[in-house]
Amino acid sequence: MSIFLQALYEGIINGSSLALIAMGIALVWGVMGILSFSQGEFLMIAMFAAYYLNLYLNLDPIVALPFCMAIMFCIGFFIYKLIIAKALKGPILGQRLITFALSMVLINLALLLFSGDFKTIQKVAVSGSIDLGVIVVAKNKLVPLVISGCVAGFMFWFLNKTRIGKAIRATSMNKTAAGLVGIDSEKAYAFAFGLSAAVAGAAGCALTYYYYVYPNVGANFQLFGFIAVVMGGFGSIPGALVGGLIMGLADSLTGVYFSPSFKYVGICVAFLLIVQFKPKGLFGGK
Amino acid sequence: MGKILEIKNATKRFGGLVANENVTFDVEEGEIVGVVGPNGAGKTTMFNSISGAHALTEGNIIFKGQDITSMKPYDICRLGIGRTFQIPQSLNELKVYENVLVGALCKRNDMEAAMAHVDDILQLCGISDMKYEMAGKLNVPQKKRLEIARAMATDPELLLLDETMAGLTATERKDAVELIQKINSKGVAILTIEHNMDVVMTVSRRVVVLVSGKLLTIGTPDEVTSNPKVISAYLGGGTKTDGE
Amino acid sequence: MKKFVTDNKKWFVGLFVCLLIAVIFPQVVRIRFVWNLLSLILVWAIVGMGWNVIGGYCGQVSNGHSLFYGIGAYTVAITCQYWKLSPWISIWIGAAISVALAFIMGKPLLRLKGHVFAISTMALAECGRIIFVNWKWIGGATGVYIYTKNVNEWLYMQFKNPLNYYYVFLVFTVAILIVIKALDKSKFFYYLRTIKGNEMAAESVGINAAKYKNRAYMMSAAIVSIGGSLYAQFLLYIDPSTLMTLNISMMIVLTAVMGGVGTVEGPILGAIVLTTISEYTRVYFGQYGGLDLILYGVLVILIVLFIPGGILSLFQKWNGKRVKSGKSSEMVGG
Repeated sequence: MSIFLQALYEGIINGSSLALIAMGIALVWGVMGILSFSQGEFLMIAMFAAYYLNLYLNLDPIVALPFCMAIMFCIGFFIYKLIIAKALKGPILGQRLITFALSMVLINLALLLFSGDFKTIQKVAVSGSIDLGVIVVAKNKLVPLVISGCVAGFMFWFLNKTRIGKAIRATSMNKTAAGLVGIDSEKAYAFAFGLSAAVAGAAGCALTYYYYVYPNVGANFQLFGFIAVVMGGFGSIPGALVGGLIMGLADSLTGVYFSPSFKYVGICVAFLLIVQFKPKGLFGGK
Repeated sequence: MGKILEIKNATKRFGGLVANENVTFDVEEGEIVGVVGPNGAGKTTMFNSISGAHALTEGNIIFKGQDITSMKPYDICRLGIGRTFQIPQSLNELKVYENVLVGALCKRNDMEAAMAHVDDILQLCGISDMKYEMAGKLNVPQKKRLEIARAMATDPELLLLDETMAGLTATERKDAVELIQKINSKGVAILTIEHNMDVVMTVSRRVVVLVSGKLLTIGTPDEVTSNPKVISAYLGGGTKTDGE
Repeated sequence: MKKFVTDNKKWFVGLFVCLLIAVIFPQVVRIRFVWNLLSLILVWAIVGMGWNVIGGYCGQVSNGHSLFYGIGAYTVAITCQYWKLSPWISIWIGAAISVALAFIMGKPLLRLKGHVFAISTMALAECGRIIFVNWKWIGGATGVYIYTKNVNEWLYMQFKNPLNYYYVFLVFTVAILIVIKALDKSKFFYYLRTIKGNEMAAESVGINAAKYKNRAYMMSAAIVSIGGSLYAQFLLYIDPSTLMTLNISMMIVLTAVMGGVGTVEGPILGAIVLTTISEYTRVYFGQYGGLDLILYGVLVILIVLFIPGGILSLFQKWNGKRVKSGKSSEMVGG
């Protein structure tokens, strides 16, 4: 029982980071129809940013979070203006390949600048653990969970209440119609891409609390992020949130009760079965 | 004359929505039957059921004595039912002749024979001069012709036309009527959905009137237009004669 | 067959000229690096052509073809290690296994569309990679050596002279190229194009889309598997992390897209450009950890952005300007 609860706890922690990645992927997918392969790398950049902010300025990742999100938003916005805006005029396959090439550039840029060593933040503000009897709750792992919750809440607020957020949602529903009522779809797209990077950045920043930082770290989240988005009903942001949590749980539970080396096989097979019977995702209706 | 298509008590539900309810009618060999009815009367649903795009909830569809109710679209096409779509579904990245070619290959394996057939069909449909154009560059009336050509290339014995006249000018409509009659004179039976009453009344031997998914009446154009039920239910609800 | 040749006289003359150049070029440029580069180009050309059948012609964009690449490579490696089987035979066994897997997995996978299909193929390939990494019998994560001492070079396709690989691969490439050219104007490929264009329309003209998609998937798997087998013979050592990653899957797609999706010659052009870029950047900038791949990625982005139709489309544009109307080249071959 206590193993189960422990796995459940770890699963929710992992799932909360995955959920943020998935929400970013879902946003780009839903708004501009691109399957973005660079989302994991946005996470990686934010992790490095958090790491170096901690190393040189002694900022705790919690304090660095708003900076990381702002930096990532700007990077995302800039990448949209520089590359994605033009790619959107080309074929869908080309768009996907461009985000893939972009991820390759970002990974290797990190490798060139920061080397491939594994880095961890030595001292974080929240540490230690609470022994609840049945499970041990590592406090530093609670931080990403809380942050993910806040960022997810922020994203919902942003998309539902702010002017630009509403514009993004309208554009994702119908680009032409949104244009007719005077929404600048270019701006909405750029903001959406920036926002997706910022959300991935928040996840990355929070992850530094207990995870290694290295150039390829994003790859661990990429495929699972995609799977989470499909499971949640692609393009749906609340769906992606739930999908991410499910993936986190599946990851840690299969690791405990199945085989650690084959757990990803289990997850992929489960995913393939789910899309067969629910091709629109678990929450996508019929 | 024998019956080529028989629709028996056809009912199609989408969840709680009843799109067709207990519709029964038939099409005789070599006949043109028009299907009319206000928007949402279930005309296109009827077509999709016949062509196999979805299965009926209840009832049967018999083509040349064979039950095709639960067959797949490609098998139904091979049996001899061709169809067009309300919104043209041309293959925009292929050339006009290639669009027709894929239809011609339905019953031919030999490329030469298929190409010869394509030329015949392009001639018949009057789009020979666009043979090498990209289908994506055609305008809507041309695409509608291409749809007919592609369906005709599969050598159908029954052709389902879904609003081939919508959005055409008066002259284009006249050409289209001629084309339909030309196709019919080759012995192909035609079931056509049409909003434009003038057209339906000129080309059809009989007319089926659908209202809210149900069959209101079937008869010759004269019978139908003089039927008080039709006048009140359909024409009364806003006449759409020669509006466009 | 004879008709196929006479209908495509110009194409065959072009092929002959290119082939002549391809045969003579390495005799003139006697640099080992170039010889290896040429062999690699041919491997990528083969896998690119293979992917193109399902992804280009049929429009079902698989992002998991590294699976078949790996199966091809592992089949020749394992059969050689355990049973001393010649690759000339085991290449076909690998292709058969890939076809069988594509047949079984194609049914459920090909019902999915767009991004979901792509993600599912990625998930499948990932399953394959993990199974191969953890499968002790086939070497697990350490991989397999194919190199065997004192065997006949030609029987075991293990050459000391890299040029021999090149010529063997050239035969395979040309054979596959001719098969694809012959199918280009066939009923099969026209059906694939129709499915790519509009599945509903395809079914309305009597095309069983599921059946033809599955056939395309199988053919594609077979060709990519052959490419994998040849690559394994070229390296003589294989492991899952060089063969079965997402990167490989994506580069297979890139090869076809860069050359021209759904064209006969496109993947070959794509392979020439991509492999040349990747090998030369590796040689000149590889020592500055990652700089080579940065350059590679940037060049890929630029090419995909500015030549969205692929490199072949540049030739066609140029050709189109010369021959205002392309009617003469539109004749259908049997």
